[in-house]
Amino acid sequence: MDIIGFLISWITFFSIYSILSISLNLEAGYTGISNFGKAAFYGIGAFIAAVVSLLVFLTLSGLSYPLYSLETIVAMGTLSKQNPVLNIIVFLFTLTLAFVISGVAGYLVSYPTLRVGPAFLGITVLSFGELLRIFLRNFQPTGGTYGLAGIPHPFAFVQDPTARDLAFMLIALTLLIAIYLFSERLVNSPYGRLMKSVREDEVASLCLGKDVPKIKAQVLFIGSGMAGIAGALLAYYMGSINPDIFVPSLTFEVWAMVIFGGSANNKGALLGAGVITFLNRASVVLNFMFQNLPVDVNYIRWMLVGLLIVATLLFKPEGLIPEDTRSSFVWSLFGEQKTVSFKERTEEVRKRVKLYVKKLISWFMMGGE
Amino acid sequence: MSVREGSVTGLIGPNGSGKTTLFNVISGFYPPDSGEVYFMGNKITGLNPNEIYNLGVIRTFQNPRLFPRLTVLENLLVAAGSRGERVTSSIAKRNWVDGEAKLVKKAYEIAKSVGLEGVERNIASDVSGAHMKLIETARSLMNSPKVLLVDEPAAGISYSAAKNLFNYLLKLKEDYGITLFIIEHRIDILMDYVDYVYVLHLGKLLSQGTPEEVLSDKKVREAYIGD
Repeated sequence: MDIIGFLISWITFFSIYSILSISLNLEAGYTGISNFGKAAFYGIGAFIAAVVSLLVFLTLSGLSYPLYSLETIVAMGTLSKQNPVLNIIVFLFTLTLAFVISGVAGYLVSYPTLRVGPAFLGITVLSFGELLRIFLRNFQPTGGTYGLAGIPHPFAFVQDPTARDLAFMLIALTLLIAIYLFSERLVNSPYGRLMKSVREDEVASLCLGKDVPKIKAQVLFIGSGMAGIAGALLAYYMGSINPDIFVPSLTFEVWAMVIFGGSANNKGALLGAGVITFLNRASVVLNFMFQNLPVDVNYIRWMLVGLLIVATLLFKPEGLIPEDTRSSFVWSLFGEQKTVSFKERTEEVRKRVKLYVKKLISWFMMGGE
Repeated sequence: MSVREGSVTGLIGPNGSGKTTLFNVISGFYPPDSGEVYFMGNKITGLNPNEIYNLGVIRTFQNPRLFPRLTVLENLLVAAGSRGERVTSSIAKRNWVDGEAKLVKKAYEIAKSVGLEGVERNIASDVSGAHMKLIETARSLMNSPKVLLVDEPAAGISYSAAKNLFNYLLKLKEDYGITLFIIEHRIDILMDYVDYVYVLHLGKLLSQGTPEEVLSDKKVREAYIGD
Protein backbone atom coordinates (compact mmCIF):
# COMPACT_ATOMS: atom_id res chain seq x y z
CA MET A 1 0.00 0.00 0.00
CA ASP A 2 1.27 3.40 -0.92
CA ILE A 3 1.56 5.15 2.43
CA ILE A 4 2.82 8.42 0.99
CA GLY A 5 0.01 8.50 -1.50
CA PHE A 6 -2.55 7.76 1.20
CA LEU A 7 -1.15 10.48 3.43
CA ILE A 8 -1.11 13.05 0.66
CA SER A 9 -4.66 12.27 -0.35
CA TRP A 10 -5.81 12.27 3.25
CA ILE A 11 -4.22 15.63 4.03
CA THR A 12 -5.60 17.15 0.84
CA PHE A 13 -9.11 15.97 1.62
CA PHE A 14 -8.58 17.00 5.21
CA SER A 15 -7.76 20.53 4.06
CA ILE A 16 -10.78 20.72 1.78
CA TYR A 17 -13.16 19.31 4.35
CA SER A 18 -11.69 21.41 7.13
CA ILE A 19 -12.53 24.52 5.18
CA LEU A 20 -16.08 23.20 4.95
CA SER A 21 -16.29 22.35 8.63
CA ILE A 22 -14.83 25.68 9.71
CA SER A 23 -17.37 27.44 7.53
CA LEU A 24 -20.21 25.43 9.03
CA ASN A 25 -18.83 26.06 12.49
CA LEU A 26 -18.96 29.79 11.91
CA GLU A 27 -22.57 29.53 10.80
CA ALA A 28 -23.96 26.89 13.14
CA GLY A 29 -21.52 26.71 16.03
CA TYR A 30 -21.06 30.42 16.59
CA THR A 31 -24.11 32.06 15.08
CA GLY A 32 -26.67 29.32 15.54
CA ILE A 33 -27.69 29.17 11.89
CA SER A 34 -28.88 25.70 10.91
CA ASN A 35 -27.37 25.47 7.48
CA PHE A 36 -28.43 22.17 5.92
CA GLY A 37 -27.26 23.13 2.48
CA LYS A 38 -23.47 23.15 2.68
CA ALA A 39 -23.24 20.72 -0.22
CA ALA A 40 -25.03 23.18 -2.48
CA PHE A 41 -22.45 25.94 -2.10
CA TYR A 42 -19.63 23.40 -2.19
CA GLY A 43 -21.06 22.27 -5.52
CA ILE A 44 -21.50 25.79 -6.86
CA GLY A 45 -17.84 26.50 -6.17
CA ALA A 46 -16.79 23.30 -7.88
CA PHE A 47 -18.87 23.91 -10.98
CA ILE A 48 -17.78 27.52 -11.27
CA ALA A 49 -14.16 26.41 -11.15
CA ALA A 50 -14.76 23.70 -13.72
CA VAL A 51 -16.85 25.74 -16.15
CA VAL A 52 -14.73 28.88 -16.05
CA SER A 53 -11.39 27.10 -16.28
CA LEU A 54 -12.50 24.97 -19.21
CA LEU A 55 -14.05 27.97 -20.95
CA VAL A 56 -10.92 30.05 -20.56
CA PHE A 57 -8.62 27.37 -21.84
CA LEU A 58 -10.81 26.49 -24.80
CA THR A 59 -11.54 30.07 -25.78
CA LEU A 60 -7.91 31.08 -25.59
CA SER A 61 -7.05 28.29 -27.98
CA GLY A 62 -9.85 29.25 -30.29
CA LEU A 63 -11.73 26.02 -29.71
CA SER A 64 -15.45 25.93 -29.18
CA TYR A 65 -16.28 22.40 -28.22
CA PRO A 66 -19.10 21.93 -25.72
CA LEU A 67 -17.61 21.75 -22.27
CA TYR A 68 -18.84 18.26 -21.58
CA SER A 69 -17.72 16.68 -24.84
CA LEU A 70 -14.98 14.15 -25.37
CA GLU A 71 -13.17 16.59 -27.63
CA THR A 72 -12.83 18.98 -24.73
CA ILE A 73 -11.35 16.33 -22.50
CA VAL A 74 -8.87 15.31 -25.14
CA ALA A 75 -7.95 18.90 -25.95
CA MET A 76 -7.50 19.76 -22.28
CA GLY A 77 -5.10 16.88 -22.00
CA THR A 78 -2.56 18.81 -24.05
CA LEU A 79 -3.70 22.36 -23.34
CA SER A 80 -3.28 22.03 -19.62
CA LYS A 81 0.36 21.20 -19.94
CA GLN A 82 1.37 23.95 -22.31
CA ASN A 83 1.39 27.07 -20.24
CA PRO A 84 2.06 26.73 -16.52
CA VAL A 85 1.45 30.39 -15.88
CA LEU A 86 -1.99 30.20 -17.43
CA ASN A 87 -2.87 27.22 -15.23
CA ILE A 88 -1.94 29.09 -12.10
CA ILE A 89 -3.66 32.31 -13.10
CA VAL A 90 -6.84 30.48 -13.98
CA PHE A 91 -6.61 28.53 -10.73
CA LEU A 92 -6.33 31.65 -8.61
CA PHE A 93 -8.95 33.52 -10.60
CA THR A 94 -11.53 30.73 -10.36
CA LEU A 95 -10.88 30.32 -6.64
CA THR A 96 -11.75 33.96 -6.07
CA LEU A 97 -14.72 33.74 -8.38
CA ALA A 98 -15.96 30.63 -6.58
CA PHE A 99 -15.75 32.45 -3.27
CA VAL A 100 -17.70 35.44 -4.51
CA ILE A 101 -20.39 33.55 -6.40
CA SER A 102 -20.97 30.95 -3.70
CA GLY A 103 -21.05 33.68 -1.11
CA VAL A 104 -23.60 35.70 -3.04
CA ALA A 105 -25.65 32.56 -3.63
CA GLY A 106 -25.60 31.81 0.08
CA TYR A 107 -26.79 35.30 0.84
CA LEU A 108 -29.51 35.32 -1.78
CA VAL A 109 -30.94 31.91 -0.96
CA SER A 110 -31.17 32.67 2.71
CA TYR A 111 -32.45 36.22 2.30
CA PRO A 112 -36.16 35.36 2.46
CA THR A 113 -35.68 33.37 5.63
CA LEU A 114 -33.48 35.69 7.66
CA ARG A 115 -36.31 37.13 9.66
CA VAL A 116 -38.05 33.89 10.48
CA GLY A 117 -37.16 30.86 12.53
CA PRO A 118 -34.07 28.71 12.00
CA ALA A 119 -35.92 25.69 10.69
CA PHE A 120 -37.00 27.63 7.63
CA LEU A 121 -33.47 28.45 6.65
CA GLY A 122 -32.29 24.89 7.02
CA ILE A 123 -35.01 23.44 4.85
CA THR A 124 -34.79 26.23 2.31
CA VAL A 125 -31.10 25.75 1.61
CA LEU A 126 -31.47 22.00 1.68
CA SER A 127 -34.20 22.16 -0.94
CA PHE A 128 -32.22 24.67 -2.94
CA GLY A 129 -29.27 22.31 -2.99
CA GLU A 130 -31.34 19.39 -4.13
CA LEU A 131 -33.11 21.43 -6.78
CA LEU A 132 -29.79 22.65 -8.07
CA ARG A 133 -28.39 19.15 -8.19
CA ILE A 134 -31.40 17.79 -10.05
CA PHE A 135 -31.25 20.73 -12.44
CA LEU A 136 -27.58 20.13 -13.15
CA ARG A 137 -28.20 16.45 -13.68
CA ASN A 138 -30.45 17.39 -16.56
CA PHE A 139 -28.53 20.39 -17.85
CA GLN A 140 -26.60 19.23 -20.87
CA PRO A 141 -24.14 22.13 -21.21
CA THR A 142 -22.51 21.18 -17.90
CA GLY A 143 -22.52 17.53 -18.75
CA GLY A 144 -25.75 16.35 -17.15
CA THR A 145 -25.17 13.38 -14.92
CA TYR A 146 -21.67 12.86 -16.27
CA GLY A 147 -20.55 16.30 -15.29
CA LEU A 148 -17.35 17.88 -16.53
CA ALA A 149 -13.87 16.47 -16.85
CA GLY A 150 -10.44 17.57 -17.99
CA ILE A 151 -10.29 20.35 -15.43
CA PRO A 152 -6.78 21.79 -15.71
CA HIS A 153 -4.75 20.95 -12.63
CA PRO A 154 -2.73 24.01 -11.56
CA PHE A 155 0.43 21.91 -11.57
CA ALA A 156 -0.34 19.85 -14.65
CA PHE A 157 3.08 20.70 -16.06
CA VAL A 158 4.76 18.71 -13.28
CA GLN A 159 5.56 15.27 -14.60
CA ASP A 160 5.71 13.22 -11.41
CA PRO A 161 2.15 12.59 -10.13
CA THR A 162 3.26 12.35 -6.51
CA ALA A 163 5.08 15.65 -6.70
CA ARG A 164 2.06 17.20 -8.36
CA ASP A 165 -0.26 15.95 -5.65
CA LEU A 166 2.17 17.04 -2.97
CA ALA A 167 2.30 20.56 -4.38
CA PHE A 168 -1.48 20.71 -4.52
CA MET A 169 -1.71 19.44 -0.97
CA LEU A 170 0.54 22.27 0.15
CA ILE A 171 -1.63 24.82 -1.61
CA ALA A 172 -4.75 23.37 0.00
CA LEU A 173 -3.08 23.39 3.41
CA THR A 174 -2.02 27.01 2.95
CA LEU A 175 -5.57 28.00 2.12
CA LEU A 176 -6.78 26.09 5.14
CA ILE A 177 -4.33 27.89 7.38
CA ALA A 178 -5.36 31.26 5.99
CA ILE A 179 -9.04 30.46 6.49
CA TYR A 180 -8.39 29.10 9.97
CA LEU A 181 -6.52 32.23 11.00
CA PHE A 182 -9.20 34.45 9.53
CA SER A 183 -11.91 32.56 11.42
CA GLU A 184 -9.99 32.66 14.67
CA ARG A 185 -9.56 36.41 14.34
CA LEU A 186 -13.20 36.85 13.50
CA VAL A 187 -14.54 34.91 16.45
CA ASN A 188 -12.07 36.34 18.96
CA SER A 189 -13.25 39.85 18.34
CA PRO A 190 -16.36 41.84 19.20
CA TYR A 191 -17.90 40.46 16.02
CA GLY A 192 -17.50 36.96 17.42
CA ARG A 193 -19.30 38.08 20.53
CA LEU A 194 -22.02 39.40 18.27
CA MET A 195 -22.33 36.05 16.51
CA LYS A 196 -22.65 34.23 19.80
CA SER A 197 -25.28 36.67 21.02
CA VAL A 198 -27.37 35.86 17.96
CA ARG A 199 -26.97 32.18 18.72
CA GLU A 200 -27.86 32.54 22.38
CA ASP A 201 -30.96 34.71 22.02
CA GLU A 202 -31.87 36.34 18.75
CA VAL A 203 -34.62 38.45 20.26
CA ALA A 204 -32.45 39.79 23.05
CA SER A 205 -29.74 40.59 20.56
CA LEU A 206 -32.23 42.48 18.41
CA CYS A 207 -33.40 44.33 21.48
CA LEU A 208 -29.84 45.35 22.21
CA GLY A 209 -29.56 47.12 18.93
CA LYS A 210 -27.99 44.41 16.79
CA ASP A 211 -29.18 44.03 13.22
CA VAL A 212 -29.66 40.29 13.50
CA PRO A 213 -30.78 39.59 9.92
CA LYS A 214 -27.75 41.47 8.61
CA ILE A 215 -25.40 39.53 10.86
CA LYS A 216 -26.88 36.25 9.70
CA ALA A 217 -26.58 37.34 6.10
CA GLN A 218 -22.94 38.32 6.57
CA VAL A 219 -22.04 35.04 8.23
CA LEU A 220 -23.83 33.07 5.55
CA PHE A 221 -21.99 34.97 2.85
CA ILE A 222 -18.65 34.20 4.44
CA GLY A 223 -19.53 30.58 5.15
CA SER A 224 -20.91 29.90 1.70
CA GLY A 225 -17.95 31.64 0.12
CA MET A 226 -15.58 29.40 2.04
CA ALA A 227 -17.55 26.37 0.91
CA GLY A 228 -17.14 27.65 -2.64
CA ILE A 229 -13.38 27.76 -2.22
CA ALA A 230 -13.44 24.19 -0.95
CA GLY A 231 -15.52 23.16 -3.95
CA ALA A 232 -13.09 24.77 -6.37
CA LEU A 233 -10.22 22.94 -4.68
CA LEU A 234 -12.11 19.69 -5.04
CA ALA A 235 -12.71 20.27 -8.73
CA TYR A 236 -9.04 20.86 -9.44
CA TYR A 237 -7.90 17.97 -7.28
CA MET A 238 -10.20 15.40 -8.82
CA GLY A 239 -10.03 16.78 -12.32
CA SER A 240 -13.65 15.94 -12.89
CA ILE A 241 -16.90 16.59 -11.07
CA ASN A 242 -20.52 15.60 -11.40
CA PRO A 243 -23.67 16.82 -9.65
CA ASP A 244 -24.20 13.65 -7.65
CA ILE A 245 -21.21 14.34 -5.47
CA PHE A 246 -23.07 17.21 -3.82
CA VAL A 247 -25.78 15.33 -2.02
CA PRO A 248 -27.31 16.05 1.39
CA SER A 249 -25.34 13.23 2.99
CA LEU A 250 -22.26 15.28 2.29
CA THR A 251 -23.81 18.16 4.22
CA PHE A 252 -24.50 15.83 7.09
CA GLU A 253 -20.96 14.55 7.01
CA VAL A 254 -19.81 18.12 7.57
CA TRP A 255 -22.35 18.47 10.35
CA ALA A 256 -20.92 15.32 11.92
CA MET A 257 -17.49 16.91 11.84
CA VAL A 258 -18.72 19.99 13.63
CA ILE A 259 -20.81 18.11 16.17
CA PHE A 260 -18.18 15.48 16.89
CA GLY A 261 -15.13 17.73 16.85
CA GLY A 262 -16.73 20.45 18.90
CA SER A 263 -19.02 23.25 17.86
CA ALA A 264 -18.05 26.87 18.36
CA ASN A 265 -14.45 25.85 18.30
CA ASN A 266 -12.26 26.04 15.23
CA LYS A 267 -9.82 23.46 16.57
CA GLY A 268 -12.77 21.15 17.08
CA ALA A 269 -13.81 21.66 13.47
CA LEU A 270 -10.32 20.59 12.39
CA LEU A 271 -10.40 17.56 14.64
CA GLY A 272 -13.77 16.48 13.34
CA ALA A 273 -12.63 16.94 9.77
CA GLY A 274 -9.46 14.97 10.45
CA VAL A 275 -11.23 12.00 11.93
CA ILE A 276 -13.97 11.77 9.36
CA THR A 277 -11.74 12.28 6.34
CA PHE A 278 -9.49 9.60 7.75
CA LEU A 279 -12.46 7.24 7.87
CA ASN A 280 -13.28 8.32 4.33
CA ARG A 281 -9.87 7.62 2.90
CA ALA A 282 -9.42 4.47 4.94
CA SER A 283 -12.63 3.02 3.59
CA VAL A 284 -11.53 3.77 0.01
CA VAL A 285 -8.30 1.90 0.67
CA LEU A 286 -10.07 -0.95 2.45
CA ASN A 287 -12.55 -1.27 -0.37
CA PHE A 288 -9.68 -1.55 -2.76
CA MET A 289 -7.78 -4.06 -0.66
CA PHE A 290 -10.65 -6.34 0.28
CA GLN A 291 -12.64 -6.76 -2.88
CA ASN A 292 -14.63 -9.73 -1.73
CA LEU A 293 -16.37 -8.32 1.32
CA PRO A 294 -20.11 -8.96 1.46
CA VAL A 295 -20.69 -5.33 2.36
CA ASP A 296 -19.37 -2.22 0.68
CA VAL A 297 -17.10 -0.56 3.21
CA ASN A 298 -18.70 2.77 2.37
CA TYR A 299 -21.95 1.68 3.96
CA ILE A 300 -20.14 0.71 7.13
CA ARG A 301 -18.55 4.15 7.07
CA TRP A 302 -21.97 5.81 6.85
CA MET A 303 -23.12 3.81 9.82
CA LEU A 304 -20.00 4.80 11.73
CA VAL A 305 -20.58 8.48 10.99
CA GLY A 306 -24.18 8.20 12.14
CA LEU A 307 -23.11 6.40 15.28
CA LEU A 308 -20.53 9.07 15.91
CA ILE A 309 -23.16 11.81 15.76
CA VAL A 310 -25.54 9.99 18.07
CA ALA A 311 -22.84 9.00 20.54
CA THR A 312 -21.54 12.57 20.69
CA LEU A 313 -24.97 14.02 21.26
CA LEU A 314 -25.63 11.49 24.00
CA PHE A 315 -22.39 11.64 25.91
CA LYS A 316 -20.69 14.90 25.08
CA PRO A 317 -23.07 17.22 23.27
CA GLU A 318 -20.60 20.07 23.03
CA GLY A 319 -18.27 17.87 21.04
CA LEU A 320 -14.78 16.61 21.74
CA ILE A 321 -13.23 20.07 22.09
CA PRO A 322 -15.94 22.21 23.66
CA GLU A 323 -16.41 25.92 23.32
CA ASP A 324 -13.99 28.01 25.30
CA THR A 325 -16.34 30.13 27.39
CA ARG A 326 -14.10 31.11 30.24
CA SER A 327 -11.03 32.58 28.67
CA SER A 328 -12.69 35.35 26.74
CA PHE A 329 -10.28 37.24 24.55
CA VAL A 330 -11.08 40.27 26.62
CA TRP A 331 -8.95 39.03 29.49
CA SER A 332 -5.94 38.30 27.40
CA LEU A 333 -6.15 41.80 25.98
CA PHE A 334 -5.86 43.62 29.22
CA GLY A 335 -3.55 41.50 31.26
CA GLU A 336 -5.64 41.91 34.35
CA GLN A 337 -7.34 38.78 35.59
CA LYS A 338 -5.60 36.48 33.18
CA THR A 339 -7.00 33.01 32.72
CA VAL A 340 -6.77 30.72 35.74
CA SER A 341 -3.31 29.76 36.91
CA PHE A 342 -1.78 26.41 36.09
CA LYS A 343 -2.34 25.12 39.60
CA GLU A 344 -5.98 26.08 39.54
CA ARG A 345 -6.37 24.43 36.18
CA THR A 346 -4.82 21.12 37.28
CA GLU A 347 -7.06 21.18 40.33
CA GLU A 348 -10.03 21.72 38.08
CA VAL A 349 -8.96 18.86 35.81
CA ARG A 350 -8.45 16.54 38.77
CA LYS A 351 -11.90 17.39 40.10
CA ARG A 352 -13.46 16.78 36.71
CA VAL A 353 -11.75 13.45 36.22
CA LYS A 354 -12.93 12.31 39.66
CA LEU A 355 -16.48 13.33 38.85
CA TYR A 356 -16.31 11.57 35.51
CA VAL A 357 -14.97 8.35 37.03
CA LYS A 358 -17.71 8.47 39.64
CA LYS A 359 -20.27 8.90 36.89
CA LEU A 360 -18.84 5.95 34.98
CA ILE A 361 -18.86 3.73 38.06
CA SER A 362 -22.41 4.60 38.95
CA TRP A 363 -23.37 4.02 35.32
CA PHE A 364 -21.87 0.55 35.58
CA MET A 365 -23.57 -0.19 38.86
CA MET A 366 -26.95 0.72 37.47
CA GLY A 367 -26.48 -2.01 34.94
CA GLY A 368 -25.53 0.36 32.20
CA GLU A 369 -28.56 2.62 32.43
CA MET B 1 -50.26 59.19 25.97
CA SER B 2 -47.03 61.06 26.39
CA VAL B 3 -44.01 60.70 28.61
CA ARG B 4 -42.41 64.01 29.52
CA GLU B 5 -38.66 64.22 29.18
CA GLY B 6 -36.88 63.90 32.48
CA SER B 7 -39.89 62.49 34.27
CA VAL B 8 -40.54 59.19 35.98
CA THR B 9 -43.79 57.95 34.51
CA GLY B 10 -45.58 54.85 35.69
CA LEU B 11 -47.73 52.43 33.76
CA ILE B 12 -50.03 50.28 35.81
CA GLY B 13 -53.06 48.12 35.25
CA PRO B 14 -54.38 44.66 36.03
CA ASN B 15 -52.84 41.61 34.41
CA GLY B 16 -53.56 41.37 30.73
CA SER B 17 -54.32 45.04 30.34
CA GLY B 18 -51.69 45.48 27.67
CA LYS B 19 -48.78 47.12 29.45
CA THR B 20 -46.04 44.91 28.06
CA THR B 21 -47.75 44.99 24.69
CA LEU B 22 -47.51 48.77 24.75
CA PHE B 23 -43.80 48.50 25.47
CA ASN B 24 -43.50 46.04 22.59
CA VAL B 25 -45.16 48.50 20.26
CA ILE B 26 -43.01 51.40 21.39
CA SER B 27 -39.78 49.43 21.07
CA GLY B 28 -40.68 48.21 17.60
CA PHE B 29 -41.58 44.61 18.19
CA TYR B 30 -45.19 44.80 17.24
CA PRO B 31 -46.45 47.12 14.55
CA PRO B 32 -49.46 49.01 15.86
CA ASP B 33 -52.84 48.39 14.28
CA SER B 34 -53.35 52.12 14.25
CA GLY B 35 -51.74 55.20 15.66
CA GLU B 36 -48.14 56.41 15.74
CA VAL B 37 -45.23 56.49 18.13
CA TYR B 38 -43.07 59.61 18.33
CA PHE B 39 -39.78 60.08 20.07
CA MET B 40 -38.39 63.58 20.51
CA GLY B 41 -40.58 64.81 17.71
CA ASN B 42 -39.64 62.08 15.26
CA LYS B 43 -41.91 59.29 14.16
CA ILE B 44 -40.50 55.93 15.13
CA THR B 45 -43.44 53.69 14.29
CA GLY B 46 -42.39 50.88 12.02
CA LEU B 47 -38.69 51.07 12.74
CA ASN B 48 -36.86 47.87 13.62
CA PRO B 49 -36.17 47.16 17.30
CA ASN B 50 -32.45 47.57 16.81
CA GLU B 51 -32.91 50.96 15.15
CA ILE B 52 -35.08 52.17 18.00
CA TYR B 53 -32.47 50.93 20.46
CA ASN B 54 -29.83 53.00 18.77
CA LEU B 55 -31.99 56.09 19.05
CA GLY B 56 -31.81 55.75 22.81
CA VAL B 57 -35.12 54.08 23.61
CA ILE B 58 -34.14 51.02 25.59
CA ARG B 59 -36.37 48.41 27.16
CA THR B 60 -35.73 45.76 29.71
CA PHE B 61 -37.54 42.47 29.99
CA GLN B 62 -39.61 41.22 32.86
CA ASN B 63 -37.92 37.82 32.67
CA PRO B 64 -34.30 38.60 32.06
CA ARG B 65 -33.22 37.57 28.59
CA LEU B 66 -29.54 37.04 29.01
CA PHE B 67 -27.08 35.24 26.78
CA PRO B 68 -26.68 32.04 28.78
CA ARG B 69 -23.33 30.84 27.56
CA LEU B 70 -21.58 34.20 27.60
CA THR B 71 -19.98 35.64 30.70
CA VAL B 72 -21.66 38.45 32.59
CA LEU B 73 -19.10 40.86 31.27
CA GLU B 74 -19.70 39.75 27.70
CA ASN B 75 -23.41 40.19 28.23
CA LEU B 76 -22.75 43.76 29.21
CA LEU B 77 -20.32 44.36 26.37
CA VAL B 78 -22.76 43.18 23.73
CA ALA B 79 -25.19 45.83 24.89
CA ALA B 80 -22.79 48.59 24.01
CA GLY B 81 -21.83 49.14 20.42
CA SER B 82 -18.27 48.59 19.35
CA ARG B 83 -16.24 49.31 16.26
CA GLY B 84 -15.07 45.74 16.27
CA GLU B 85 -18.60 44.62 15.59
CA ARG B 86 -18.19 45.06 11.87
CA VAL B 87 -16.80 42.19 9.91
CA THR B 88 -14.12 44.19 8.16
CA SER B 89 -12.77 45.97 11.19
CA SER B 90 -12.91 42.97 13.48
CA ILE B 91 -10.06 41.19 11.77
CA ALA B 92 -7.39 43.70 12.72
CA LYS B 93 -7.19 43.99 16.47
CA ARG B 94 -5.84 47.49 16.51
CA ASN B 95 -9.14 48.76 15.19
CA TRP B 96 -11.05 47.92 18.29
CA VAL B 97 -8.65 47.27 21.15
CA ASP B 98 -8.77 50.78 22.56
CA GLY B 99 -12.52 51.00 22.27
CA GLU B 100 -12.81 47.64 24.02
CA ALA B 101 -10.65 48.82 26.90
CA LYS B 102 -12.95 51.79 27.47
CA LEU B 103 -16.04 49.61 27.20
CA VAL B 104 -14.71 47.11 29.70
CA LYS B 105 -14.03 49.91 32.15
CA LYS B 106 -17.51 51.29 31.61
CA ALA B 107 -19.00 47.84 32.09
CA TYR B 108 -17.17 47.36 35.35
CA GLU B 109 -18.32 50.77 36.61
CA ILE B 110 -21.92 50.14 35.72
CA ALA B 111 -21.81 46.65 37.19
CA LYS B 112 -20.44 48.05 40.39
CA SER B 113 -23.05 50.78 40.63
CA VAL B 114 -25.84 48.27 40.13
CA GLY B 115 -24.41 45.96 42.77
CA LEU B 116 -22.98 43.30 40.50
CA GLU B 117 -19.41 43.37 41.68
CA GLY B 118 -17.42 40.18 41.57
CA VAL B 119 -19.50 38.14 39.20
CA GLU B 120 -18.34 39.61 35.93
CA ARG B 121 -16.32 36.57 35.02
CA ASN B 122 -19.11 34.10 35.69
CA ILE B 123 -21.13 32.50 32.96
CA ALA B 124 -24.46 34.27 32.87
CA SER B 125 -26.49 31.11 33.34
CA ASP B 126 -24.62 30.37 36.56
CA VAL B 127 -25.56 33.46 38.53
CA SER B 128 -28.46 33.82 40.93
CA GLY B 129 -31.89 35.07 39.89
CA ALA B 130 -31.43 38.38 41.67
CA HIS B 131 -28.14 38.90 39.87
CA MET B 132 -29.82 38.14 36.59
CA LYS B 133 -32.24 40.98 37.14
CA LEU B 134 -29.34 43.26 37.96
CA ILE B 135 -27.53 42.21 34.81
CA GLU B 136 -30.65 43.00 32.81
CA THR B 137 -30.73 46.45 34.35
CA ALA B 138 -27.01 47.02 33.93
CA ARG B 139 -27.21 45.99 30.29
CA SER B 140 -29.82 48.61 29.58
CA LEU B 141 -27.43 51.30 30.78
CA MET B 142 -24.50 50.38 28.63
CA ASN B 143 -25.53 52.35 25.57
CA SER B 144 -26.28 55.75 27.13
CA PRO B 145 -30.07 55.50 27.04
CA LYS B 146 -32.33 58.52 26.79
CA VAL B 147 -35.47 56.67 27.77
CA LEU B 148 -35.66 53.47 29.73
CA LEU B 149 -38.75 51.33 29.36
CA VAL B 150 -38.48 49.28 32.52
CA ASP B 151 -40.78 46.26 32.67
CA GLU B 152 -41.57 45.26 36.26
CA PRO B 153 -38.19 45.89 37.81
CA ALA B 154 -39.32 44.85 41.26
CA ALA B 155 -40.87 41.55 40.26
CA GLY B 156 -39.78 38.71 42.47
CA ILE B 157 -37.41 40.63 44.72
CA SER B 158 -37.79 41.62 48.37
CA TYR B 159 -39.34 44.89 49.48
CA SER B 160 -36.06 46.41 50.61
CA ALA B 161 -34.24 45.27 47.48
CA ALA B 162 -37.04 46.78 45.42
CA LYS B 163 -36.73 50.07 47.26
CA ASN B 164 -32.98 50.02 46.68
CA LEU B 165 -33.55 49.38 43.02
CA PHE B 166 -35.99 52.24 42.69
CA ASN B 167 -33.67 54.57 44.58
CA TYR B 168 -30.98 53.53 42.16
CA LEU B 169 -33.19 54.17 39.15
CA LEU B 170 -33.97 57.62 40.47
CA LYS B 171 -30.28 58.31 40.97
CA LEU B 172 -29.69 57.27 37.38
CA LYS B 173 -32.29 59.72 36.24
CA GLU B 174 -30.56 62.53 38.13
CA ASP B 175 -27.02 61.58 37.11
CA TYR B 176 -27.57 60.72 33.46
CA GLY B 177 -30.75 62.60 32.65
CA ILE B 178 -32.62 59.45 31.68
CA THR B 179 -36.38 59.47 31.36
CA LEU B 180 -38.05 56.51 33.01
CA PHE B 181 -41.23 54.80 31.92
CA ILE B 182 -41.92 52.02 34.39
CA ILE B 183 -44.39 49.15 34.39
CA GLU B 184 -44.88 47.92 37.90
CA HIS B 185 -47.38 45.83 39.77
CA ARG B 186 -46.21 46.79 43.22
CA ILE B 187 -48.09 50.02 43.40
CA ASP B 188 -47.09 50.54 47.01
CA ILE B 189 -43.49 50.99 45.96
CA LEU B 190 -44.08 52.62 42.61
CA MET B 191 -46.23 55.50 43.79
CA ASP B 192 -43.44 56.92 45.94
CA TYR B 193 -41.26 57.46 42.94
CA VAL B 194 -43.36 58.50 39.96
CA ASP B 195 -44.40 61.95 38.81
CA TYR B 196 -47.24 60.80 36.62
CA VAL B 197 -49.16 57.57 36.13
CA TYR B 198 -51.11 55.99 33.29
CA VAL B 199 -53.58 53.21 34.00
CA LEU B 200 -54.43 50.63 31.37
CA HIS B 201 -57.36 48.24 31.50
CA LEU B 202 -58.31 45.73 28.83
CA GLY B 203 -56.11 47.45 26.32
CA LYS B 204 -57.52 50.91 26.80
CA LEU B 205 -56.41 53.91 28.79
CA LEU B 206 -58.51 53.93 31.93
CA SER B 207 -57.10 56.82 33.89
CA GLN B 208 -54.10 59.09 34.21
CA GLY B 209 -52.74 61.66 36.56
CA THR B 210 -50.50 62.16 39.56
CA PRO B 211 -50.21 59.20 41.93
CA GLU B 212 -52.69 60.73 44.35
CA GLU B 213 -55.28 61.40 41.66
CA VAL B 214 -55.00 57.89 40.25
CA LEU B 215 -55.14 56.16 43.60
CA SER B 216 -58.30 57.95 44.54
CA ASP B 217 -59.93 57.32 41.16
CA LYS B 218 -62.90 55.01 41.61
CA LYS B 219 -62.54 53.49 38.13
CA VAL B 220 -59.03 52.34 38.97
CA ARG B 221 -60.17 50.70 42.19
CA GLU B 222 -62.93 48.91 40.33
CA ALA B 223 -60.56 47.61 37.68
CA TYR B 224 -58.12 46.21 40.20
CA ILE B 225 -60.44 44.90 42.82
CA GLY B 226 -63.52 44.39 40.69
CA ASP B 227 -66.02 46.22 42.85
